[in-house]
Amino acid sequence: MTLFSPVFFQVLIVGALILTALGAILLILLLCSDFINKRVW
Amino acid sequence: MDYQSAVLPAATGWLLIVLFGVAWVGLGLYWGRKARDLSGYMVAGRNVGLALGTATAMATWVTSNTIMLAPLFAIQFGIWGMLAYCTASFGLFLFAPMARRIRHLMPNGFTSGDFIRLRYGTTAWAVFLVIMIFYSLAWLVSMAMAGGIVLNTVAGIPYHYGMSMILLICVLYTLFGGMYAVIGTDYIQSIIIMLGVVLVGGAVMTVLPLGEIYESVLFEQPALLNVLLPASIMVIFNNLLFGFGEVFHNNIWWSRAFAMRKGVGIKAYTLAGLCWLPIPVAAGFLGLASGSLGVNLTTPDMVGPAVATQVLGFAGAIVIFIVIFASLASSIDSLLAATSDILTEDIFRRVLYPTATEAVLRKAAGMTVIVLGLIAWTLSLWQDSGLLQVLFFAGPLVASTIWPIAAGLYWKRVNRMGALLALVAGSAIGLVAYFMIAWYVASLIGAAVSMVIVLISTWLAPQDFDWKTLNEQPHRQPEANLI
Repeated sequence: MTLFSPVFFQVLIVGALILTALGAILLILLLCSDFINKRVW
Repeated sequence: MDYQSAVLPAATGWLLIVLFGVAWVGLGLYWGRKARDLSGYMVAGRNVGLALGTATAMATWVTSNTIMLAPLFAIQFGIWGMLAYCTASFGLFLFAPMARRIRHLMPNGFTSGDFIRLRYGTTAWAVFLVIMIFYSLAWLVSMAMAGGIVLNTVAGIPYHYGMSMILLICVLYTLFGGMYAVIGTDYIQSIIIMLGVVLVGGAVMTVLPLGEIYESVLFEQPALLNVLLPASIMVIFNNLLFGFGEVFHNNIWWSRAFAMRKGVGIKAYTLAGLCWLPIPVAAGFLGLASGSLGVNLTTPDMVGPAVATQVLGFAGAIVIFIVIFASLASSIDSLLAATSDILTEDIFRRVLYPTATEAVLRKAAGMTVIVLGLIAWTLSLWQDSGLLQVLFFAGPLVASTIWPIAAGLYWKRVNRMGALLALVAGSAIGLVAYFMIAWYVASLIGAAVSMVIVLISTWLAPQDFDWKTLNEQPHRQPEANLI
């Protein structure tokens, strides 16, 4: 049975958490940009 | 059944519900001032920007199922289970260019039903509406049930009270604010969900290093780490196609495509897919950590909340409570608004009252939100924790819509009869596969049958569809407003 390696496992989980955090930051920055340019709605 | 080991006192749970309720209903009333006309109420004035557009697509796709079922997928199907759940984001990626085309072809459109009616005629439209309304109701009921179960598990709030409160809050702010309130609250909810998932995941890693979690899974269930787990690979295809079908057909996504400012849709859906992609892994690994943490599960759906409360205690219970409340609300409000649009536009206006003025339609849209809430509440009174079954029973039905919609948007040769047959036969044979083989092949078979029928029927009898047919004129204004 071929198994996923521990390194792959750790990169996958840590990468997912970092990407999720970056997603939140991106949304905040996008809203700031829309707000400054008066393009929210 | 009350959860005996709830870590959050019921009083705290009630306090959080009341705080959320007041804030969200207040926002609904505030944003509702913008939703004076039908276009404002149903599609937020068709001028939503990139930030809100991205957040609403992302938050709607993060349901309580994502938070609760992703860990369950990890326990059942291992690493492939989490990755399989991630493939649902591909639906958002593929819908991105479709959103642009929808906005271009149907500048005055309101629903996906409008597209099917104009593209394929009334018979296919009727079948499509049955599929979509069935699926949307099933999803809505599963969300309401999930809300009742989670509040019961985390805070010991009786199932019926929790379920009723979540539905009531969502119905009120959707009723008052329409699509403006749905999209505005979705933005706040998406930030809450993402930060909450990162906080809980980070806390688990602090308490239990990832290496230890890996070793524990390797010792107890090495199959979960298997690169070639056959059932998991089937789950990937099933989830992928289910995601395509759900996003392509459901008015939730179409109404947002109509709501976004011209040119925003393609960027917003792409970014929403990127934001959504890591969440099933970030939430799903809680399932793999449950064994190492010795979490005692009463129901398998609850593995995520149980791990969060085990690791973070009182604070974890509050965080997971808020995250799940936000994920529930962001889906329930979208389902209420989008299904209300379908009932108002496709049933009330097109079938029951074709001469209705905009003011009458605006009132009807509000009434249908209330009626939908009541239907969901009634169906949710019978508690059923088998969320997976409710979710995937509709899988083959929605998978059968992929080809008629995607091909119909880009390929003018697809004909009416072929689309109708694809919807009916894809759904029927997919359901047979669901019961005769396994749930995780049902969507695959439903989509495959639908594809074959669309391709063969188009080859045999190509249609020459005029795209201008899709550009219907906007609703007539009542005469009094025109003077």
